[in-house]
Amino acid sequence: MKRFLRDNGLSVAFGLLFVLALVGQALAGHADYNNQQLVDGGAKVSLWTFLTSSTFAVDVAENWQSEYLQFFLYIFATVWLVQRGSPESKPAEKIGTESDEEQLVGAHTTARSPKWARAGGWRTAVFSRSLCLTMAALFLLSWTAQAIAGWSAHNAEQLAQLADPLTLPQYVASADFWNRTLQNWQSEFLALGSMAVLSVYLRQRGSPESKPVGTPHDTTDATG
Amino acid sequence: MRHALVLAGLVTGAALLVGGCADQRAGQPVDTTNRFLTALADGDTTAACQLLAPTTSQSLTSDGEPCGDALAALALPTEPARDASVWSDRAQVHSDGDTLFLVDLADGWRIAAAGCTRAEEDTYDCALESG
Repeated sequence: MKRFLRDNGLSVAFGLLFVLALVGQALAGHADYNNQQLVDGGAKVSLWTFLTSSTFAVDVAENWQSEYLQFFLYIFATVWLVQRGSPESKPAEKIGTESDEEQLVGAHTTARSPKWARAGGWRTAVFSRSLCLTMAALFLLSWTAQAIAGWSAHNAEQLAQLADPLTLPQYVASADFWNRTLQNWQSEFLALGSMAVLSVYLRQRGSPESKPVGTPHDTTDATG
Repeated sequence: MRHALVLAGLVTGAALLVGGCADQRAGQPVDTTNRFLTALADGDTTAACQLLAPTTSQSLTSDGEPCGDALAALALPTEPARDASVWSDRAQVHSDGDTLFLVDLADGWRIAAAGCTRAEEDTYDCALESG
């Protein structure tokens, strides 16, 4: 158990933080929703009713989609774009998908290479892109969930304000959908850009997200 | 390709779930609306007043007039309800003569607004509403 926690500390810690934050969001969101219900002349709901509501679903989904978009774009962009001096970037001479030798595929696999890396053909082609494909799929799934849940929640607000509900195409073109989407996207892109630049000049001793403390600023792709 | 089909299935399923749930729940606000309209048509304003949302009833009687008298004075259309659109705890019901808005409270669906005519940008001005 001790060894498991040591070897998987990062995923366990962030998994716990995610659960705690989601529980906190549920409790705060429930209180906020009921306050708004009183203002709108509606009825207070139980925590379970709120957790199964479209309001909670859209509040969760709009954050998830932007996180997966962030990772999809960053993983994909760092194949082709570089940031000189950043540990988040590879050196300019390695721009692109790199050689089979560098990527340990084709004739350069080892006995311990993953099965689909050794398989060749479409399996290796898919496995070579599996991280981006998965992040993109999770982004599309959660963005779709945001659209559908947001449509339901927005239409309930429309009716409370004595206005017509929207069709799904109308909602996807609406200010509410794009406000929710873009307010999340701007923060993700800001975080990525900040990290790419700040990591050139700043250090965190011991973190693989940072260059070693004494590494020159113009050294790229070195981790601590 | 398989991932795309699974995703398409999930999206379709979610949309059907949202739409299907809305259709099944449409019966309840339509029933409440028809009870309200029937009571009005029969002159039973007491029964009609009991089907109003509390905030709407308070708004109707804010100048001291009894609910039944104030409701009768509005002369609301009483054609039966035709269809309903339900979203969460809110519903919009159409009849041939009117558009009504309902809210789902602890003791069931109640009339939040009635005698509504379309104003600008898909909003409504209502003869009977809260606030």
